[in-house]
Amino acid sequence: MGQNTKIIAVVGKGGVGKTALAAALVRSLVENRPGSRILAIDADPAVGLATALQVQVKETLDDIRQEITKEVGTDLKDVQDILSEARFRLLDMMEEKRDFAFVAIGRPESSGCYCAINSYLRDTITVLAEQFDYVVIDGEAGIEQVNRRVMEKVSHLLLVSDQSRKGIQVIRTIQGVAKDLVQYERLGVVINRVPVGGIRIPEPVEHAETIYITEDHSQMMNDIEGKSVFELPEDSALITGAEEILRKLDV
Amino acid sequence: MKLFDEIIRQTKEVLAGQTFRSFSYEAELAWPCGKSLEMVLLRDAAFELGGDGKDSVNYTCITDTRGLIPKNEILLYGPDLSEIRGDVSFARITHLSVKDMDEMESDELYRFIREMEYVKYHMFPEGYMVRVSAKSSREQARVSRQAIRRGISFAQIGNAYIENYLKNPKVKAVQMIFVTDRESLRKLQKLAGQANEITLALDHILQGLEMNCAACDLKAICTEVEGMRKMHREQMRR
Repeated sequence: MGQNTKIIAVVGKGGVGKTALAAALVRSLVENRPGSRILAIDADPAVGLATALQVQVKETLDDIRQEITKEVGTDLKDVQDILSEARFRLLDMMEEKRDFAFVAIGRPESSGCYCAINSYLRDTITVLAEQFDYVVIDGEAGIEQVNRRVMEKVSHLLLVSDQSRKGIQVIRTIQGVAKDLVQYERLGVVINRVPVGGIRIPEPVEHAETIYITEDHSQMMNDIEGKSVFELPEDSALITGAEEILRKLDV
Repeated sequence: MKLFDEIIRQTKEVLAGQTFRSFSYEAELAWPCGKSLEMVLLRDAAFELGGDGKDSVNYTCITDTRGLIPKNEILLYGPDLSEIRGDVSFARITHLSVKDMDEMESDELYRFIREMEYVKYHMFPEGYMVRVSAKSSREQARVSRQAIRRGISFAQIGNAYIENYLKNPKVKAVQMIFVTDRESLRKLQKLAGQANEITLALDHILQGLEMNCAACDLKAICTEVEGMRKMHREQMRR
């Protein structure tokens, strides 16, 4: 990780609004830190972050990995060639918008041991992250990527859940695993889609900055209409929530 | 050993008759370089050399033939960085004059050639983001607006490259050629392919993958290139 790069990894159970929050974090950074270099990484094979940010995914990191694997020993003579080719292709793959850049990880299709892909993903994320001021990673649902150490070194780990017992249990489990496997500096919790006037679970995870985002009609409509997070009103609960957690975590 | 001599001659032929500017090597004028990749984002870029939709080529040739590469110099065919207004086609060709090539064992020579090829992977000029594809022999460079404001030029970039090559005591002289004029690019691409095939054939010989020349895919290049046959025979005798 670059000396000053802030890497925010968003993780949690599927269906709790992780991707929408990650997109809102990107928007908040774009609007409140103009001129900064911001990278959004979609590490969820479902590639939902691309939709939320209205980015066209031409190629994923895994597409490149597979193509380069085929070329090893023929056009690519040794490790130096392979690394250089990976960097060459990676920059082609990266989608550069005016205010942020975007990379999709994709889905490893090969079965069996995932060590090689995990190591490749980790290295690539590290090398890329060094070039940016802020990196937002929308993680795969559940605990697998944390378990496989894909996100070994981040500055901010953000656990997202709704109020369901299952969702809270998942983020507690992730926190337990992350304590040993992820080097993070700050831990945050976002409890999403809290019913207006409803009960708020106090301190769902110990020693973490926690915020609550209420149910957001405008965001629901945005989703239905397939609009980007940049089209949400400034005062929507999701956008103000994203700004609040960034502030609380001193990002 | 004359492995790349024919390619050097053909490169000169392709470029012959075209207007060019030449600059002597001056180490103190080398453009500053970092230790690792410095990404130039599109929003910060003035233009890209050899970028998307443009032709791009890069190759390195090594020789010990006296007088073929007589001195350190930078040759520029086409507009300089301060004169370019948008993305352009791009070639960067390195000609190296080295000593004691004939005295090197085959594997030592192969390692040396590769070492010289690796130099391009470790060049990180400030505001000049180089990326190289070993597969396609492409080299692209994204130049930042800030670097243009600071007065970056091909002479300075060339000096930085030459400085790096000269760190190897076997290198006597370096000719660094930059081409931003599209006309010659296609012919140079063909030569890049031949240079790559020579290195591939060397690798092939040294790994002993194919000792039946009649069945070898790289027989043509092995037959054509002087020096390669000698090396192959030596390797087969071992």
